[in-house]
Amino acid sequence: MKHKNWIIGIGIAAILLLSACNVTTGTPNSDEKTYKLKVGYLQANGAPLADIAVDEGFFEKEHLKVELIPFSASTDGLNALQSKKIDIGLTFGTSGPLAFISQGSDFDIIGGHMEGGHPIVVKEGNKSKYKSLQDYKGKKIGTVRLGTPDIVFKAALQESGINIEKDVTFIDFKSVTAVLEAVASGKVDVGVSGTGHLSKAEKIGLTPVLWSNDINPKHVCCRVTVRGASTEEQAVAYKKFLKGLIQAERIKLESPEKALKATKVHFKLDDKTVNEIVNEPHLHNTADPNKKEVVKMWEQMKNLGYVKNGEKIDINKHFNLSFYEQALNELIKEHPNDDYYKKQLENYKKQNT
Amino acid sequence: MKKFLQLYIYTTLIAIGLLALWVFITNFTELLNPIIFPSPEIVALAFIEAITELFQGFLSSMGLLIPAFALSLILGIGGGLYFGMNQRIREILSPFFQTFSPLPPTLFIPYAIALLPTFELASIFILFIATFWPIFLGTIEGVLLIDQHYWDNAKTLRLKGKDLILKMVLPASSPLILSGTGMSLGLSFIVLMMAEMFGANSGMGHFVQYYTDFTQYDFVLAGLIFNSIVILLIMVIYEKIKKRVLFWTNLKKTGSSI
Amino acid sequence: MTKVLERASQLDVKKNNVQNKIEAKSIFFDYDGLEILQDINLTIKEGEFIVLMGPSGSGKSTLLRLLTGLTQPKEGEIFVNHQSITQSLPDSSVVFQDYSLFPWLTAEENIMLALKQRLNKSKTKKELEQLAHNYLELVQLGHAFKKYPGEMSGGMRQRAAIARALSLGSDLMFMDEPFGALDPVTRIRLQDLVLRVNQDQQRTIVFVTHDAEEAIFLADRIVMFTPGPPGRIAEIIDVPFPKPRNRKKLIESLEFIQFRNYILGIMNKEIFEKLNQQNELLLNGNGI
Repeated sequence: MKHKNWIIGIGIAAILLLSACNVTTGTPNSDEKTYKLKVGYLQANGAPLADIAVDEGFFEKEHLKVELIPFSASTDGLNALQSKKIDIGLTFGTSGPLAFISQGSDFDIIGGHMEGGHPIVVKEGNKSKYKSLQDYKGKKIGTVRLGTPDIVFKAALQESGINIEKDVTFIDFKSVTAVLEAVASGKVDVGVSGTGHLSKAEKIGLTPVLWSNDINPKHVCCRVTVRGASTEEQAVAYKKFLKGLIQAERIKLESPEKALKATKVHFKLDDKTVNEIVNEPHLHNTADPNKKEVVKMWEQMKNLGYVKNGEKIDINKHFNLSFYEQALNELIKEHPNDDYYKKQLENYKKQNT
Repeated sequence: MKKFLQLYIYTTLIAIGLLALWVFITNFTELLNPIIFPSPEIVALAFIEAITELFQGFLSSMGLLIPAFALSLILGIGGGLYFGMNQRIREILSPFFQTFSPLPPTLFIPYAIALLPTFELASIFILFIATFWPIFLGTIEGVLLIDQHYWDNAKTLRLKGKDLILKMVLPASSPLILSGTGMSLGLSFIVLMMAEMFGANSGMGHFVQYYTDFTQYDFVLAGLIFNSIVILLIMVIYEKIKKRVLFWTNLKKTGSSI
Repeated sequence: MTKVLERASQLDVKKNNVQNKIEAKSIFFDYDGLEILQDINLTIKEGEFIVLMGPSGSGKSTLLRLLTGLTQPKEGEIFVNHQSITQSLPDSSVVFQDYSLFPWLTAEENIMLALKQRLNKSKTKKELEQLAHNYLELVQLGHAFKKYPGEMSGGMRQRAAIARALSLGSDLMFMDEPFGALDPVTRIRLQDLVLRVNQDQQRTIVFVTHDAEEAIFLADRIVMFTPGPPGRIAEIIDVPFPKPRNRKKLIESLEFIQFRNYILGIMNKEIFEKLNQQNELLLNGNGI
C-alpha cells in the first residue's frame, strides 16, 4: 500500500515537470493571420486603453489576440518582460523602465499610455499652507521612491532652488497606500500620491494641493515598453497593438462612459471608484511615445542620482518610434477624411522630433 | 458540542470580547479612522458582497498551494530522509542548507518569473521554496534524533531498503516531520500573498493585496477574516491527521498486567 | 561449599565435547576516552545459558553490545560460530530492556516484519501472519495480536519481544536486562519462559542482569564483572545446580543461600575494593 503511495508521488512530480516543459512561451505563432501578445499591467494603474481596445474590438479587427496579465509590483512585471514571459509592459510607469535601462536592460519605448494625474496630498485642514513650492521647505514628505510622481515632484523642487537633501525630509514608503496613511495619521506632512488613489485619499481626510500636471504639464507616466530585439511577427503585432491604443484613446476622449464600461472588467471596484480612477480630469491617456518628455525625465533621474553612470547609456537608442508612426499612418490611410489622426501625427512630430 | 464548549469556552469568550471591542470602538468612539478601521457591520456587508470572489480565490489559491505543498512533502521528506541517513553527503551540503533556508521567498520572485515558463508555475515555485525548508530540515532533524534503540533494533532485524525506511525511519522521525509540516502550512498562507502578486487574477492573497492597493479596507478585512477561517479549518484537519499518524505516542494500556 | 564446587566440576566435564558458540579474545573498549572494558576473554559453549552480572557501570551491557556486533571493540576480536563478527552481524536475536518493539506497529506486525527479513520475502502476507500468530501464542499472547506496544503492559511487551526474537530463528539470543522493569510475579513467569526456550530449543542465551537470584536461577555459568570503569571479568562461576531447577525447592535450600552469599560476596568484595581505591585517591589528592 505504502509502495503505491510512493509511485503516485513520483507520478505527480513527473507530471509537474512535464507540464513545466510543455507550456509554450509568449512568442506569437507564425500562423498566417492571428498574432498573439502577452501584455503586463500594474493592477493599481489598470490598463484602460487596452481594455477599451478589447471592448471596442480594435484588436480583433487586426487579428491580434491580447492577453492581459496583472502584476502588483512593476519590478516583477519588468522582470517578466526581461525574461520574455510577457511581450509588452503597459503600465509600469516611465521611471521603472528607465531604471531598468540604466542597469543595462535592452528595453525600447514604443508608445505611451498615460500622462499626468498624480496629486500631492495633505490633510484637509492644512491645504492653505501650501501655495508655492517654497512652502514645502522644512516639511516631512512621504513618497514612493523612483515612482513617476516622486521624480516629477523632486525635480520640480530642485528646479525652484530647494535642496532636496537639506531643506526637506523625504521618507520612503513601499506603496502609495502607506504614504496616504502616513499623511492621515500625521506621521508625515505631505504625501506624494499616485493616480487612482484620489477618492480614498479624500475619504480619509486628505486633499490634493498640487497636481503633477501643474508642475510639468505634459510629464509622462506609463510608457509602452518592449524588448529591443523583436522578431518580424512581434514587430507587426506591436504596430497592431498601438493602432488599437490610438483608437481607444480617441474613444476615451470622446465618450468617457465607454471607457468606464470597458475598464470595469479589470477593476473589481464600484462604478464611482472606477470612474474616478479612469476618467479623472488630470489624467490623460495617449498612446504617443512622447520621446522628448521621456528624455527629460531621464535627465531628471540622472540629476536626482536615481540613474548612476547614465553617461554610458545613450537613451536615444532605447526608443523605437517606427511602430507608432506606422500605426498612425495606416489609420490615416484607412480614414482619409478623418482629421483626428492627422492632428495626432502633427502632435507626434512636435513631441518626438 | 458540550465537550467543545468546555474546551474552548475561554477562547470563545475572548473572541466575543474582541468583537465587542471592535463594535464599540468603531461605532461609539472616534478613536480610529473609519476608512482604515471599518466597523464590523461594514466588513460583514463586504464579506457577503465578495463571497463568490472569495471562494473563487480560495479555489485558485488551492490550485497553487496544493501542488506546491505536495511537491514540498515529496521532496522535503524524500530529501530529508536521504540526507538524514547519509552523514557524509549531509555534512558536505549542510552549509548550503543553512545559507539558503533563511532566505525570504520574495527574493526568488524575479528568478522564478525568468526561469519558469508560466506565471502559475512561478507562483507554485515561490510557495514551494517557502514550504520546502521546514519540512526538509524537520525531516533531517527527525532522522538524526531517532532513538539509538530503534537503530539497534533495525540492525538486529537486518532491516534494509524500503522496509528500513517505511517501517522504521519514517515512523520514528514522523513527530518532527509533522511539526515541520505544520510550520510549512502556516508559512504557506503568509507567502501566498507574495506568490499571488504577479500573473494572478484571483486568490486569497491576491484579494487582500488587491484591495490594499485601492485602500478598500472593508474588503481587506473581509478577506483577512475569510483567510483566517480557511487557515483555521486547514489547521484543524492537520491536527487530526497529525494525531492519527502519531497515534502510537499517545496509547493507553488496555491489557491485563502480564 | 566444597561440595557445591565439586558438583560444578562434574557439569564441566559434561560440556567439554560441545562446540564453542562465542569466543571473545582480549577485548578492550573505551568511550570518549574512558576505558569501559579491559582485557575481556570469554568462551561460551553451544546451548549454554550465560549470565553477565555486575553492578551498573561494570560494562556488562557494553560487552553484550559488542557480542551482538552492534558496536565494534577497540581492540581484540569476537568470533561467533568461529567467524569473526567485524564484517557482518552474527546470526542472533536481541531482546532489550524495553525498546525491542517498534511502537507504531502492532504485536503481529512487529513479528511479521522480523519474519519477512528472515524468510527473505518468500512467504505471502497471510502466511507471515499465521506464523506471527504461532509465535505470539507460544508466549501466551494469543489475545494481543492487534495490540500496539503502547497498549500492552511491560510483561506483555517483553513476551512479544521474546516472540520476535524467537521468530528470527537464530539459535543465539542476547538479552539485556530484559526483566529489569517488571514486577516480581511477571518476572518469574518470564524467567521460566526463557529457561524453556533455552532447554527445549537448544538455544544459546547470553543474559545481562544485576540481580543475583535471577542469575543463579537461570545461568549455567555466571560471568562476574568488577565495578568499572574499566570493567574486567572478576570471576567466571559455574552454577552448581542441575537443570531443570525447581524454583521453590532451590530457593529454600541451604546450598542456594550459601551460593547466593558466595556470589554476593564476590560482588561486594569488588565494590569495597573499588571504594577504597577511590578514597585513597581522594586522600592522596588532598595531600593528607
